[in-house]
Amino acid sequence: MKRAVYLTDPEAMRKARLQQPRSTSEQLQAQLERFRRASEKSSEEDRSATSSRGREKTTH
Amino acid sequence: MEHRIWPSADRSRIFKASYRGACGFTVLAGEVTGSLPELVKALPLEYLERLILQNRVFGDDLHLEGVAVEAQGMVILSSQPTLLGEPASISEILSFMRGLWFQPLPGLRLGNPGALAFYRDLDEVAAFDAHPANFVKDDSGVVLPIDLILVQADKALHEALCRYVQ
Repeated sequence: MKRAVYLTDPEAMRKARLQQPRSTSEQLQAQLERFRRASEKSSEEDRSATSSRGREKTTH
Repeated sequence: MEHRIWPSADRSRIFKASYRGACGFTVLAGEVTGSLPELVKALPLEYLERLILQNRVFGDDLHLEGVAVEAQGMVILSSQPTLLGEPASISEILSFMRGLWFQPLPGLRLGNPGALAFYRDLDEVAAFDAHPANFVKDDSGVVLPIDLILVQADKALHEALCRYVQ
């Protein structure tokens, strides 16, 4: 797994965002699918670890 | 998902259109919510404030491209730089947010199931819906948020959120 880098300066974050390589539509679609799956996995793990008396109110 | 999205012609940016007649979500607290933070549909100005906060707090380059009127309501069109990478893990999300002095709000679950909430009382900015799909870890390992629900807390929301800070 790649080592995470945590920027704290918004201007540095902006530079990082603007220096990204161009994506193809296919790459973007594949990324969206990967992110959707990661989010679902995270939700499932959370559900299994959360009491039914939790305070979750609204989902979207 | 709060938006319809597609890449710009040069693929450097992503266009995002809100759904007709909707402006995503925000969080408020007050008498009507029993003084508890609650996820609600955002008003247009609340949505625009959220975009401004994303640029100011997380160095994004969100542009308001325009407003369209479609048959079933108004649509807000914005764009942001394309970010390619992997979803960040929950521990990476926590490390990133703590580095910016955001405190996690354990027990407060608003947005997607499992999403984390944060509050920074220095400038009273709250961030909701923090989950792996809303953070990109790019090819260099840089962790960047892309679509959090950001709110400038008023007095009622500040007081409500402070109850969750440990």
